[in-house]
Amino acid sequence: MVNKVEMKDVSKIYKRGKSEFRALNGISLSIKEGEFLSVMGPSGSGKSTLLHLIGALDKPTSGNILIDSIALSSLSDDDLSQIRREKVGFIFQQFNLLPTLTARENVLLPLKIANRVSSEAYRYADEIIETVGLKEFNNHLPEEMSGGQMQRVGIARALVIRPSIILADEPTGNLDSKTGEEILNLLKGCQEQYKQTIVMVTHDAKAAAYGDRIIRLKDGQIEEEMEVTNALPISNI
Amino acid sequence: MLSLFRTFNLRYLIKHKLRTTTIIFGVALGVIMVVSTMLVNQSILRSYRSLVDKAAGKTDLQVMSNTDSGLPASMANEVASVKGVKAAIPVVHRDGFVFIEDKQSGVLLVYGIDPNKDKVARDYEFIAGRQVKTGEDDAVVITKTWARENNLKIGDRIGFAGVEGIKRFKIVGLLANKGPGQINAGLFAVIDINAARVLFNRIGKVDQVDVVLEDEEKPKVVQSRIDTRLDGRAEVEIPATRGLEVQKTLEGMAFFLNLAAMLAVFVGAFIIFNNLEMSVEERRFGISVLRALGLGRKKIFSLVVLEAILLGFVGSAFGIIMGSLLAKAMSQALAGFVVTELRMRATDLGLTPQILLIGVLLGPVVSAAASVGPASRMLKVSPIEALKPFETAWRPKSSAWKLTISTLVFLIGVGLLTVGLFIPKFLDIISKDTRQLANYLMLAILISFLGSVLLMPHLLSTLLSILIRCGRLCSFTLRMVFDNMRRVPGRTAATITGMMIAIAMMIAVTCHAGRLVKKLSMLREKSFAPDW
Repeated sequence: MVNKVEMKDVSKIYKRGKSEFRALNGISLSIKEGEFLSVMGPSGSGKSTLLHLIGALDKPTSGNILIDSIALSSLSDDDLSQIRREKVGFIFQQFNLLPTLTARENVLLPLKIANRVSSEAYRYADEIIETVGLKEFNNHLPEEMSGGQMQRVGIARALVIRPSIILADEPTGNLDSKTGEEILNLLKGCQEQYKQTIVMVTHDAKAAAYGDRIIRLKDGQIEEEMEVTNALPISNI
Repeated sequence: MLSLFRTFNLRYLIKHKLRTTTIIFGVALGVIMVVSTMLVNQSILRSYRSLVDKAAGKTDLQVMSNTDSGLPASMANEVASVKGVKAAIPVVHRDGFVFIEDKQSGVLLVYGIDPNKDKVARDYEFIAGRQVKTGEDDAVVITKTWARENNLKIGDRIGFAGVEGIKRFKIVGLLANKGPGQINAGLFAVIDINAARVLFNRIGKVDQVDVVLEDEEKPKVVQSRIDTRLDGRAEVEIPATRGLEVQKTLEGMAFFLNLAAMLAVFVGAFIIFNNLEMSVEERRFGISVLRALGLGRKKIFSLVVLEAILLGFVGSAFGIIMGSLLAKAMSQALAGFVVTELRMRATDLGLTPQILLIGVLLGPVVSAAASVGPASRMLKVSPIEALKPFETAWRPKSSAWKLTISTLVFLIGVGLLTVGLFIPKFLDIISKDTRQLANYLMLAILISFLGSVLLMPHLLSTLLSILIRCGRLCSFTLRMVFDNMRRVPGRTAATITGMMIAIAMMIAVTCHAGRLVKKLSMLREKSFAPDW
């Protein structure tokens, strides 16, 4: 299978005054098309930084990252914005819906940003809204929806541009366990239905088990990597 | 882009009605002042011209009394005998309280003329009726404008308050709205000179002798001859130059009105800036989400500026309507002043294409300029903020180069102003044209204000830091307030500077208005002195 994302010896160093903080330390990683990768690790292990770099939100200090064989390291801020709007879908822990827009308008937002306002794109958006089970909530504002419903909108918004990769940052972190399970099932379903590549950062071992593969980070390095099989008990994760 | 603007910006503006209204008000404030000022300036200057220029007609020189008692009637013959004088036309003119059906109906500028001689100086054009005849002591000619306003027609009677009570006159002619019919914006009447002498207690007197010269005679030369002949018993002036002092005074008023309008635009810009700052800061998280979803920096900048321009257009439209209404109100208030002090009225309040264009463009341009700061700040919003919303709290940074530039601009402004105000010789070097000098002062004021605006955040930050350090002197609540103000010094400074400018404007305009009223009254008394 084709690699959607490749990281080659990637390091990220943050400077705070005179001191330096090495958030990622020479990570190399490949993510295959249609793969669901879970990233785990304690706070400060570099999970978020990894997500920022794959999502073209930030640039590595050294090493290279390729999305669909495009090297991100040398791109300008405008080019990185283009990568984000065309190749990356984000699912946020806080949902990050715009409060003045309805559910459907929030879903259509990435299309408007990418200037893809064709009727075909709108039809696809409606199909996704139906897939995530929000057809009846089309005209609801975020304040009129539950956490689970808002995260469904977030998922639909990430899918609507047919991204190369979806990055989910603790997508169940703000939800109760039952709703969290529904959202994870939905993500898994989307992976299967749309052959979608997904990278999910989570603290929750049970959530991580929805992935096909799990990597565990520690001190900016991959400490452990494992394939998820049906036989793998959660306690092992 | 427009689709995004509709969903992201317009929706926010509609939801936050109070903030949107405040920004529109800020824009409208400036536009209202500019439009109304331009309309009133235009109106006053045109009214003035209608009073002086139309009254002068073809007169080359005017002989006027240098006291309130008037000139002896014989002076007209004396002037007529001077070499180069074609005709010397005696005029009695007074402001007459007019009565229609025993009700006092305002004041008209009444010219008592010798109908035979006066046609040399002025071309009277009638839409109905005729000129008064020599010796006709109860006939009056009024203007079509004033007749229409008061539903009067030929044959109707009006009264004038005179020394022997109200004397009634029959309307025998209506002047067309041109030439003498435009004198004093139509608040004008003509009666026979002898009737005027009786009415206004000017027996054996005239108020003015209008002089028409022989062809090819130079006014200055004949002026000198008449001066010699009269030997200081009267003043001889060229009408065009006689009006210069009044015109200069009116231009002084126009300058102050323009200054007030400019400062209103300045204050309006602060209101816009302040509210846009708050408005975009509120949407900072939303903007970081848009950035994370792939919206480029340039588009973020464009969205904020576009929003300001849209509000600017709405403010402009509102400002033009309100400005026109305010101009009417101001002109009526001025008419009150003018009728009692100057006996002329403000006219021509119509929006010219030039005023309309300035009004339409002013709002968007000022709003766009005021939005550059907030929009630039939003350029710095990182898309990462969308993933960690609680970790980012914007704190502005003060820099040495900003402080240096601000201080420099302020000092340049104050320097120019000081030189302009306290070293008059310097002004002579720049120019002798009063308009250019006014523009110089206006520019100096603008630069000083701009400097104080730029400098204020730095001064405020320092002041607040000192206040916060005085921990023992301040309560916890007060320290919190100071800290909050320090967090956004630009916004706090904008509010303070806006207030400062508004107060400065009020003081300056009030002082100037008082001085202006005095001066105009003096000039008016000199030209058309009432005898009550």
